[in-house]
Amino acid sequence: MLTRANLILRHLTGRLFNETSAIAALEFALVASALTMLLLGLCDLVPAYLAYTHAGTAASTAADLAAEYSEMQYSDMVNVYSAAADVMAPFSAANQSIRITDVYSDGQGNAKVYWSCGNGSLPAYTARVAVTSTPTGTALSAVLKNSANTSYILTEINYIYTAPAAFVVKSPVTLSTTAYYLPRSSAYVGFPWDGVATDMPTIPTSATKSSPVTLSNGATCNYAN
Amino acid sequence: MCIRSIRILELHFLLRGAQCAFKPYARLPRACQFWFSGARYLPAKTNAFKKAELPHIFCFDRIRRPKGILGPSLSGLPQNKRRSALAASTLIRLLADQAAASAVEFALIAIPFFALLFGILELGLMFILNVSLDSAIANFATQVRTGQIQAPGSAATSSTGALLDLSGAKTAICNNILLVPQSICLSQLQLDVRPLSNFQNTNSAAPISGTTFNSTNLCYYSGNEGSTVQITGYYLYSILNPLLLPAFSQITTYTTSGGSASGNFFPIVATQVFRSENYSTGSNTGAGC
Repeated sequence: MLTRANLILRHLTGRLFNETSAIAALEFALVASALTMLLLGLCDLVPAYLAYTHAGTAASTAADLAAEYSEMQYSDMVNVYSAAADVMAPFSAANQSIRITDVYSDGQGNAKVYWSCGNGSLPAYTARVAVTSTPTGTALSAVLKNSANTSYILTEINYIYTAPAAFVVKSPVTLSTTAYYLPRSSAYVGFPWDGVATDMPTIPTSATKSSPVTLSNGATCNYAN
Repeated sequence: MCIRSIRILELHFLLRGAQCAFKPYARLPRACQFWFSGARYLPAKTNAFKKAELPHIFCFDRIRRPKGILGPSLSGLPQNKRRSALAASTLIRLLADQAAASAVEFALIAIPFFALLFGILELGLMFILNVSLDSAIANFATQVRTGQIQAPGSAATSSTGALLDLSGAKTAICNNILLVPQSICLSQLQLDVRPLSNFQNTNSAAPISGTTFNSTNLCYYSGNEGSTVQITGYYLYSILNPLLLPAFSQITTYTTSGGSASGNFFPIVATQVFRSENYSTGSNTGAGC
């Protein structure tokens, strides 16, 4: 039943929908929210992607440099760490954890750790312990083809990314990258070496134990000896 | 706009006995669309509002100055008050005029709208620059690593190996950077090539200190085969959009050997560290840094 109040209500509602003033402001209000989300989202995601690619380059660089050595001294390892931090620039090395590992095949289908150095959220693996799979899930024995006297350098990097606008990426995200490099100069990259030519590191197949060492940059290492 | 709705509600309470003796809002005459209260004068011979501070209500046609019962009569006013009344009435008419409202609204909205739009475009440009600088430096680093290029240092002496001077190297890198004109790229790009005897000492030449970028200590010498080389490309992107300044303006002084410039720059940095191959194209006779 159309009461007087009902009529007035209809009149007012009709006026609201027929209202054409401030239509541009209304349209902008609709579009602005989407545009603002795009802008803030880009502010968050563009540095995230760049940090991820830089972390990938840093992992490659660290593995590449380590693979050039036939024997590494403590200072060499520290240098490799600082090179990886340089490559990470302009992203802060303080948010970066690096683990560099020499993985060898024992000739019986097992991939084991020869030596490993790590810091932050990536602590060093224990030496002479079998590594069953890569970070991406591939069985290491498949990579090493079960051949004795083979090793490769595995570098993993975790970068803790904090978004500047924190609108899309609200909490810090850990970006993980991995690189594999074959040693360039010898079958194994020996570590640690004291610099004396006759005093080479124990080769992994004749090592009997795992020993720890802490580097000058705070990274800890385990090596087979 | 909003004036109308407010006034219509007020009308109900204020208009009883006023000169414009309107019925309740449901029956307002169509021509009478805009209302304004607070005028400074009273029409003559009205008993409804006797004090000047009481609100008076005008009723208008869209464009023309209202007449007769729909508006205040000016004839009863003294000459000196008539002019101000007329001015007030003109101002009110202008405020009430809705013609070209969309154009005016767009003019107001265009500023934040285009700021947002160009902010998005500019972030995209910075992203493209960053990615293309990364790949351009990687490309250049590969050529240095394999001995295709040797950087001779500040003293451009001849070398038995392949040589490329600094401006040639910058041009080669700028050719791989997208979307930016060559001349701008060459002025904003800075290149640091240095052999590392001890990786730890790299920070001594860091050109970025606080909000200042100083290119005068940069090096351009790639050493010999087998040396560990660090190559860093810096692109000082000049930010245009004020929306991006708080997050991205990190460098405000850009110093080169030619002088110092101020502005709002975002440093895009790409670094490669590698050990040169034993390329045997001859030793680098350039001057080290």
